[in-house]
Amino acid sequence: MKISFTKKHYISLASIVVMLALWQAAASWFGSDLIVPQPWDTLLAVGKLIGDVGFMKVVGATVVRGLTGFVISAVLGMLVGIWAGLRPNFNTFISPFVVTIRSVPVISLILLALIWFNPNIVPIFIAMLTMFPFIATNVADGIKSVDPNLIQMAKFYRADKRKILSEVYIPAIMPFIISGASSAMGIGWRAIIIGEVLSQPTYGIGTKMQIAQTYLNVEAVIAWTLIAILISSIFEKTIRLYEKRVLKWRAQ
Amino acid sequence: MTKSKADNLQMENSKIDRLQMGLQINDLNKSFNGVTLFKDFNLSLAESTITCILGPSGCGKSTLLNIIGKVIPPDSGSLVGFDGKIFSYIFQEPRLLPWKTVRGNIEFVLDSNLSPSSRRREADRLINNVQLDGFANYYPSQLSGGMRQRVSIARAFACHSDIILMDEPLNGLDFSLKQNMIKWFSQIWKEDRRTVIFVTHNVDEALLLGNEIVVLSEPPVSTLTRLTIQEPSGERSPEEPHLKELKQTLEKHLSLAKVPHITF
Repeated sequence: MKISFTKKHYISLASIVVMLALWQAAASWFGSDLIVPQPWDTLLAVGKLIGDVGFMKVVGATVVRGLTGFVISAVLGMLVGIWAGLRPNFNTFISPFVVTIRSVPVISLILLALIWFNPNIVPIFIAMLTMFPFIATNVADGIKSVDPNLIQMAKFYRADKRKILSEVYIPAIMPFIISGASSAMGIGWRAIIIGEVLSQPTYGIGTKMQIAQTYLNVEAVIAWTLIAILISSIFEKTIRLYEKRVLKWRAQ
Repeated sequence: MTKSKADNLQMENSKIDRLQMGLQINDLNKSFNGVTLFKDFNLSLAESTITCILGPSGCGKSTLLNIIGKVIPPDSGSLVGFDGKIFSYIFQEPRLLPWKTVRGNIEFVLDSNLSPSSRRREADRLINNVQLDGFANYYPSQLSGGMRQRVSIARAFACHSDIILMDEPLNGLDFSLKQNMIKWFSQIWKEDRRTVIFVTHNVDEALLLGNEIVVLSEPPVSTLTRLTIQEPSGERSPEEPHLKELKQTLEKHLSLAKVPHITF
């Protein structure tokens, strides 16, 4: 167990080294900071950005938008998903909504949101709509997969509806909620930053990227990108940790 | 010897009680997918007794259990003495909640008005009864099949029910494990002597556990024979001559119960 873990670590490390090497090769090939900046310079720029006074405000604004969008879509997604999983008729009714939302190009949503909302709300709205279908679909699939024998058992033992929901359905769909949340988050962060680039709220990673792009500051664009990747992976790791804790009942 | 005599006497006494407060199924009719399972079927069941309903596979035993447990309604007929009764169930599969520990699964059926500490005490008492001490915090995925079924037995007793319905819960366990399960079951059962209705197609299980054994035929179901075993369940050995004799009798009835099928 321990040996394979270290081995896995080495392989991941090798993968990162190769990525940096390719980047370095590209930078040397073009020989211009205006096209591909040096990796080391960019990493220094990341450090400088993190040290900046306004950094927390910028990142904080983006993270708060992301979390707000996530919480709203998680609550809506769970309500819709549970209901759709329990009632086939509601499932048939709601499916076209979910499919439509999922198929609409993100840019269309942004263009419309720019007309309807103020710049601070646009990214939240976008995040919400991109994350919602993942959670709703996963939760509905989860509910449908609950072992009917367990539900029958709970009814035999006279568990009421609330108890069946909270002690049978919800724990049973936890794995589905978590994997839904994980894919939702992955796509949500990207959507938020696109939203910020186009709606230009006062604070936000996307705003900073847009400004950097205007001044052809490629280094800063990539530096902010790296920060966005970092935030996204921190949330991914948190979800995985939570998953381990909540799903410890699963056979190893 | 004197002990078993005393037991026999107790049995006789409870037999008298039974006559006074029996459970009855009267004129039951039930068809399923065009098959008439029950046609004017009658059966009386004794309370505070383990009744084994023995019959060939697919004869409608489970349906009968589900009708008794009010899971499915009969087409017609009446159930006498079952009103207001609370049931617990032991299914063919343990049906434990995988995300709850052994203790959590037992607490699931306990009265929600009980305080957390008394719930815990009650659950631990039953865990001790099925000899799973030390496993209270294990999840079902960490237990063997036999251990899971013991948890489901503990759960059935934890629930303050009047009648325990058992639908072939010993299927798929090897014989020595079956014997042990029957021993554990009988030990807990003696504490409050609940009414148990146990459905099986296995003659050995019926002989080792039942106080009363009812043999049913293929559909439309009728009672082929019915017999009483005085010796307390859990203390019987399948090697005893009179049990061997009974086994032969039951097997003869069961073989008669099977309508010969023509295969093409």
